[in-house]
Order: sequence, then C-alpha cells, then structure tokens
Amino acid sequence: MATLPKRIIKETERLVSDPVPGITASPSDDNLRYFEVTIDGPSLSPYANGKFQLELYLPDEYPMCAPKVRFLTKIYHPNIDKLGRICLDVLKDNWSPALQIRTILLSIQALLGAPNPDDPLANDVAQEWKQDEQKAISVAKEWTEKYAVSKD
Amino acid sequence: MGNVPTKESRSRSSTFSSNSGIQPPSNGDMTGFITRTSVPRRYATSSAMNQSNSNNNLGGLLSNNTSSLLDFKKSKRQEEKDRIQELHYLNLLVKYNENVDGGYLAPFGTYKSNLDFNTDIVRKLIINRELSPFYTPLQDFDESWSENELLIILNQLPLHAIDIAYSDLEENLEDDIDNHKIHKSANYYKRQEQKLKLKNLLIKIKNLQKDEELKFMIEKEKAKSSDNTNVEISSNDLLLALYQNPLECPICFLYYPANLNISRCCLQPICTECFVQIKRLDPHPPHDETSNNQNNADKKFLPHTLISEAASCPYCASPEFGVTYDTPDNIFTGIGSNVKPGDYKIVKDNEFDDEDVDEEEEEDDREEDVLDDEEAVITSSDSASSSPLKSNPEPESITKQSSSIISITKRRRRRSSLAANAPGVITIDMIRPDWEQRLTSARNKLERKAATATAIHASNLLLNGDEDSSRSRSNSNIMMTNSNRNSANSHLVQLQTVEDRMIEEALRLSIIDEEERKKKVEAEEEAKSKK
Amino acid sequence: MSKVPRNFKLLEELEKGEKGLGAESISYGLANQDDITMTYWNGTILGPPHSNHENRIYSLTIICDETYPDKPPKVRFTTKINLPCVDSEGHVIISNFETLKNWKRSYTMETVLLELRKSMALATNKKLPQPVENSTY
Repeated sequence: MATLPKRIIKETERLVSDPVPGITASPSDDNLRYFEVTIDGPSLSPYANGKFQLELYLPDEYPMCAPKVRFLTKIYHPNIDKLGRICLDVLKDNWSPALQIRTILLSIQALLGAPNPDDPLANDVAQEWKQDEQKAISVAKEWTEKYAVSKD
Repeated sequence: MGNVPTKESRSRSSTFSSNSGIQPPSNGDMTGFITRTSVPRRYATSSAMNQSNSNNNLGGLLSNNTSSLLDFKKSKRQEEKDRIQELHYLNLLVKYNENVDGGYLAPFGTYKSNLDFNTDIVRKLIINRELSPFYTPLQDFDESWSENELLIILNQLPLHAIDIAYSDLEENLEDDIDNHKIHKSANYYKRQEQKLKLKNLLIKIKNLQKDEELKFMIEKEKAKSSDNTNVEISSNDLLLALYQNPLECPICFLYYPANLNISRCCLQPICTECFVQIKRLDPHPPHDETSNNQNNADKKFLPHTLISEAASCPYCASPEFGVTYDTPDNIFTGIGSNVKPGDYKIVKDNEFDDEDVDEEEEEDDREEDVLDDEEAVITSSDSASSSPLKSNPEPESITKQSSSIISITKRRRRRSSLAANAPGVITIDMIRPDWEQRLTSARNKLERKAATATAIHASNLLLNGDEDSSRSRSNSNIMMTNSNRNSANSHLVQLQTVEDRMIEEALRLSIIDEEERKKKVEAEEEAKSKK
Repeated sequence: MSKVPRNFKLLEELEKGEKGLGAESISYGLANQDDITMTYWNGTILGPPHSNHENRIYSLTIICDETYPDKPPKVRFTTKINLPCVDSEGHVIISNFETLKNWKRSYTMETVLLELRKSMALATNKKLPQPVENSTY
C-alpha cells in the first residue's frame, strides 16, 4: 500500500489521543483509510440510547474531497436512505478541506438531532415525517430500540 | 435499457483530471522559458500525424486537398497541446537552484492530482513575492529539538516526494471500459494514445526529478567536505531562520516556515501547495439533486444553466477564496534578490536595514494601498532573473534583456479582512484563469449531447412505425415546421422533416464547434501578440 | 492507488447503475432495495446484433459476497442460454470465462456483463442454437 499522507496519520492519532465524546473511529488493520465508526444517538432525539455503526473511507483525493460515510445500522431518518447513505451538504458540495473526520462525524451526529425532511434522501421516510411527525418520531424510536440498542 | 438503440460508441469524458485544462503559457513574461532550447520536442506518433507530416511540403498544401489540410491543422493543434502539456509538467519539477527565500517554484509533491493550475502564473507570483514559495515541508516538528538536530533533519529533506507523487505510475493505466465492449468507440484509440503519452511524459519527468535530486545531494555533500559551498543552496542560517518556529498548515498538517499565505477573509494560514489545490467545482447544474432521486434521469436541465461557483474559503466559507502573502522579515534571497540563498547570514534587524535597504520611496501603485506606516522598500541592484528555468545557473547570461526590478514591500502583518479584488489578494481564479472557458465548453458539450438525444429520440419514434395519436401529437412541432409540404404520405413527410432537423442540428453544432475553435485561435493570437 | 473497500466500491457501482451512466447494452441493480449488505444483484444483457441472441434480453443474478472485489462475483443466467462458459443450470463457469478466471480488483459487474455479451458475439458462439426465447432455468 502506498504511504499514508501525514494528515491521515495525524488525524488518526488525534482521534485516539483526544476522542470525541459519543463517537468512536478506528482504522481497520488492513486498510488505514477505512474506519469503523460508532455514533451515539443524541440524548434529546428519537435516536437516544442507540449506538449506530457506520463505515468511513478516505478516498485518494482526501482531504481535497470528502470522506465517504455510510450507516451500517438500520435507521429511520429522512436524510438517511435504506442503504445507509447520508444526505448531508458537507459530505458533498459543501465539503471543505479544513474539515476533518472528527468534524464530519460531529455533523452526522448533529443531523440525528435535527432531521431535515425538506432535503430528503429517503423519499418515503421524509414524506411520512412531514405528514405525521409524531408518528415518524415514534417509528424512529422503535427502530433505534430494535436495531441500535445492544441487548446484553 | 430504454428506447435508445444500442450504441457502442458513446464517448466518455476523460478520467485524467491532471491531463485536462492545461493552459497555454499565459504571455511572454517568461520569454526565456518559452524559447529555452533544452526542451526536447516530442513528436506525436499517431499515424495521422505521420501522414500529414509526409504531406508537409508546399505541393501538398497547395493542392486542393482540404481533408489533408484539415488533418494537418488538427495534428498541428495536437502537437501544440502536447508541447503545452510537456511545458506544464516541466514547470512542476522542483529545482534546487530555483530558490526564492529558501523555498521553490514547484510543489513538493504532497498531492498527486489537481496539478492543473497555471504554473507560469504561480511561478511568477512566487518570484514577485505575492504568494509564499513552495517550501519543503517538515513531516514532524518538536520544539525540544536543538538547532543541530533541526539542521540534521533539514539537510536530509529531499526536493520532492518522488515516491509518493509518482506512485501510481507503476500501476496499470486505468481499465478502459471499452476494452470490454464488442466495438470500441471512435475516441478509444485517441484516448489510449493520450494516456500513453501522458504516462511516458510522467516517467520522463520523474527521471528528471531524480536527476535533480541527485545533483542536489552531490552539491550538499561537496559543501560538507569543503568550505566551497554552493551559493544556490540555502545556507544553514537561512534554514534555521525559516524553520525554527514553523507553523502547521491546517490542511495538510505539515510544518512550514511561518511565512504562510493568509486567507483574505478570516486570516487563517494556508501553505501554497494546499492553496493551489483549491479550485472551482466542475461545471454542474444548479441545486445538484441527491444521487438517487428517481426523477433525476428524466429531469432535463438546460445546458446554459450549468454553473461553476468560485470556491469558498475552506475555513470560514466566505465566497471567492483568496490569500495575501507577507514576506518574512529579513529574508530576501534567491531569484529576484542579490543575496544568494547560500550567502544568507542571520543578521540583526538594524544591521540588515543599513546594509541592504534602499530607503528611496518607490512609486509602486500596486502596493501603495495596503502599505502601512512601517514601510521599507528593498530594491535589488542586479537585474532580476525572470527566467528561472534556465539550464545554466548564471542568471546574467539570459536575463540581460529583462531588466525588471522587483521591489519588495514589507508591511506590517495584516489584521483585517480584505475584499477579493483588493490589491495583493491572490484568488483561486487567478491561478486557474481557464475556468470560464471550461464552463463554456461544458455547456456546449451538454447542448450537443441533448441535441443528439433529441434527434435519436425523434427518429426512433418514427422508425418504430405504428402511429397512435399520442405519438403524432408529440411530433406536432416537427410537423408544423413543414406544414406547407402538403404530402399525402404523412409518414414520409415526417421522416423527411426529421432528416432536415438532423441536418440543421448538425449544421448548428458545427457552427458552435467552429466558433469555439475561432475563440481559441484568437486567444492564442492575443497571447502571441502580447509577447 | 489505495484500495476502495468492498462496500464503497459497490456503492459506486450501484450509483453508476442507478444513474444509467454505464454502457447501454447492459444493466444491473440491487435485487432488494434495502439489502444493506449489497450482496444480491440482478443484471440484464441485451443480445448482441448479428447473432442468434439479437433482440433477446437475458436476465442474470450476481452474488457479491464478502470476498468481492478481491474475488470475482458468482454469476448465473436465469434466462436459458447456450454458451460454452455457462453450465446446464445457468451458472457461469469460472474456468471457462476469462474475466472471472483472471479476475482483477478493478473489474466491476459492468465488466462482467459486457464481457459475457462479447462472448455471445464471438464468431464461434454467435450462431450456436439457442433455447426458446425467454425460457428460464
């Protein structure tokens, strides 16, 4: 494998030495550009108590292009589709090379706390969210309970 | 698979980002560079080229054979493109004797792609001290290092990260999907040829960089064993002055001398290597919809609505990213200065001022506006070298003609933000001035594509034969254009009309093509006349 | 070039398939829209012209398991076809099909489908007698 850019090495080190509360990210053994990620659902959201698995990959052009991120845990959210793909501006056109893995994961956590059904990716969820927000929130809670809460 | 017939020959846009958008040398400012004879001309090897070259005599040209004349023009244009591409990559070589204030005129090689900035412009900006030079980065830095430890590390730094920057060269060229098709598209062979050419060019550049690295090492070794140092290589004093209190660039996380560029809006530092990476997004439709929006395929946006916005500041997202550069205090060496990087000695402030600073006020309207009270103008007494790419190290031999005197204005560190058009601000569009041309050609390309699709669609509807009412309604606009032709056989009329339309379309497109070509030629002429 | 992990490579392929950015003579997509593991795929090939396959549409299933793309996907025709590289149950025989046999990580499902189409058009294959159109295994 080609040498890892210093930036990725330093970001990884700093993620370990100075972790973000409620977020973990560790590189996989055979590909240091590929991270296993967990994000805790924000406490005042339907995703509270859930621990969501994600995967993150830093393409060759990183940091000049955004990391690729996807939910692996099923989640009911207007901006996250059935395959876990995330609709978030900073992952697309509004990416800036001054952002980092850390800041991106924080943005995703914030998205869980503030769903935006007007800019949807999962069309049907967004529709349901707009029609009956209370019901949508309870479905989101159900799914969190069902898929994102570890049962010991 | 829809109603569109199988068409194996669909053109694909080039995937070589580094290859596209390389511009012709901006103007004659780098005359020494352009006329420099050490650039070996490489001739394209395409058969078309050979053909037209063999026709390249007066008789061949005078004969009314327009197609061979066209071929000839085409191959000339290709040759010119190849030459420009080669000059571009030669400009990306880091040369130890192209030293500006201890930095260089080409990037270290942290990034492999996006190197399509205008190298002539960037070199000029660095020589004029309007942009921080490309300094060799330190991968790590520890304040506890002693001067000696730091010097040992600094003296081991290479000029260029060859192994990283050219690491993809050894791998195979990207798999071309046409390899797996029954028929290869018309562009396939040209595409392959271009890729191969680029690969060979990069191999050559890599070897040149290796040679340069070797020369650099040998000169440094010589300096160690004798007192006869090479004045083109930064002295230890210069290295220490630069790297003793380095700054970490917030984007690449590498350590640089503290004289980084500063964002015009929020005063954040950025190294030049990261700065030249930042560019406009490729032309795209406004409000780019999310990827799996099902309507996307059907949604027809109009070609002229394609946009490309100026890149925003990576730190504060202000539109139109730009930077300013403050030269380091007491360092003014290398190209444009009469102090050789090898002769640099750390001197105290007041001594320095007495020796080198000419206090004479200069009429310098470019800088006047941003000057603070504490202004000092250094005027180099030697004629400045504006042709840094010379093959021999003596600047005098080539540059007698260009006696431009570079004056450096030191000013107090800026503390407020500036407008994108304020003097001294270097925007990302200034180093990639071709963005407008790219947008236009993207629009034209889309327009052509849309027109072709419409034509195919229309002919399909007709060739499918059975005419239900909805179909003839959808074709009514076609019918109208030809309503005066009162033919009994409406089917035939439709076919003819479609044919007409397609011919019209072809004519229109060739006009667009011709206009594009003319514009290019005009631009080139203009560039030439400026020389 | 760094190695794109399986899931992100499959997402790229999916996007290309969804947007119809690839070749027009073939298509592919997820068999199940919410298969978060992206394992089961459907593909179609439009029979090449000037062959016994002309105007036929062949359906296939493609399985990209955990080893993809380091290992080739498992490919099976669901529409009956007579081809040397396809066994009596529609499975594409790896040893008889160059693309799977000499698999490269840079290959995609699109590569596989295009190569299968190419083999249908081979001089030795194009006039092979074919089963009744649209019959399935």
